[in-house]
Parts: sequence; C-alpha cells; structure tokens
Amino acid sequence: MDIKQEKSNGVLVVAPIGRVDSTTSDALEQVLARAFEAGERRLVVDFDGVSYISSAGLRVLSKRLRVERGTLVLCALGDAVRQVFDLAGFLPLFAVERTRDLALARCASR
Amino acid sequence: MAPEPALTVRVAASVAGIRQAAAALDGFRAEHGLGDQAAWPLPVALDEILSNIVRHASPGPTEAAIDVTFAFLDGEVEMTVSDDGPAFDPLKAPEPDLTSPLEGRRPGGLGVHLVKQLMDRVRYARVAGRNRLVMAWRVPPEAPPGP
Repeated sequence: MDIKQEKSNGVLVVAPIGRVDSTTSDALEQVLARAFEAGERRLVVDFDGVSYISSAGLRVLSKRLRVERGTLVLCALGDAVRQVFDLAGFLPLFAVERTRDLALARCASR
Repeated sequence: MAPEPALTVRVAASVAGIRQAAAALDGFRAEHGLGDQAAWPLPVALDEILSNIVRHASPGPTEAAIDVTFAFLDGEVEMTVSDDGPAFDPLKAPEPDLTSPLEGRRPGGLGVHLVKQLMDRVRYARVAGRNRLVMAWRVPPEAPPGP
C-alpha cells in the first residue's frame, strides 16, 4: 500500500492506495499520528484508490476519532469499502462525503 | 491448461505470513478471474481470520504454522484455515456492539462479525488437535469479470 499526502487550503488529504488490511494498517496509523503530532487538525482521508478495507483499517480510523480534537472527513468510499463500514456499524460515526472536493469544503467550513 | 481447482500454502503465524497467504489468494483469484470488484470479500475475510490467529498466537521457540487452502468448485470458493493454536472457535465469540457510541463499544469481535456477514457459510471444527475454519463464498451471478 502506498499513501499519498497532499495539503490543500490548510487541510491535509491522506490517500491510501491499495488495500487497507492488517498488514498495511500500521503504515496508515503512523501517517495519521505523525500528521496529528505535526499540528494537522483538519484531515481528509480519501478512499478513491482503496480496493478494500478490513477491520484493522477501521480500528485505525476509529482510534483517530477518539484521540483527535479536530475535523476528520472521509470521502470517495467505493462499494467494497462502504459495505465494510456499514456492516461494522461505523458509517454513522464518521463524516463521509462523496468526493474529495465536498470533503475539503466540509473541513474548511468547520 | 485449466486452472488448478485447489491451492494450499503453509505460512508462519506472523504479519509476513499473512502477507504470503494474501499473495497466494491474489494468485488463486487471478487464475479464476475473481477480481476485486466482486470478490473483495475473500481477501477481507482471510485477513480477519489470519490476523485473529496471529494476535492470539502464543510466542514460543518455534513460530506456529497456519495452513490455508483455497478451492473453487461449482461457482463457490472455499477457504480453509488450520492452525495449531489452543482450541478456539471464533464463531462463538460474542457479537460486537454496533450501535452505541464508539467509546462504549467493546473492542474485538468485529472481524469475525464481518466474516459471518461477508461469507455465505462459515464453520469451525477442532480436528486432530488443530483449529479448522472453513469459509465458503458463492460467486454472485451478476459478477462482472473484474480487473
């Protein structure tokens, strides 16, 4: 899994590419933790390049939700990713937008 | 040449072992034309079960081994995972709490919950001193040929 990062109008966009599973979720966790340590408080996680996610990935994201005071918006969830969030009962916990632009707008408005 | 109907790999109970098993499943899926778009529940379920085993594996002088078999027959994929760990039926684990606020949720159980939802059949047996979990997944009829 590759993780792309991009800053846009004060919002950090983190875009994992590939699968987010028990073998790759640590890398995602580190990127998110480092961003937080560096003072990033507005975060978008873009799932456009994610083929699927397992509960290890869900745990990383829910952990961010617990420890962070800031804004976290998820976007571009494909069918596979959305279904796992849904089956896990995680969809209502997160701010989710259809596209990166909508996610950035939501982040900027907070 | 017709693709092999079944494939077995033996991997270590470690993150490296999970990676190896996932790569074997990728190869098996590619041979049978089971792309991510339709067949993503297979790698997700395998990751849940293997990471569960690795998390509960007791550290010992020798790394525990996990055997994973993939079979494709009559439109159904069967994944069999066997390990030497203490008897443990993951299907008996309590269901996770999916409705309360995150802070109130008990950790754990989520992976097995996903496996039960994503697979068509899951069964556990203790066979000859080993745990054996069989997960069956039927290829959806409308499944387009994936990338």
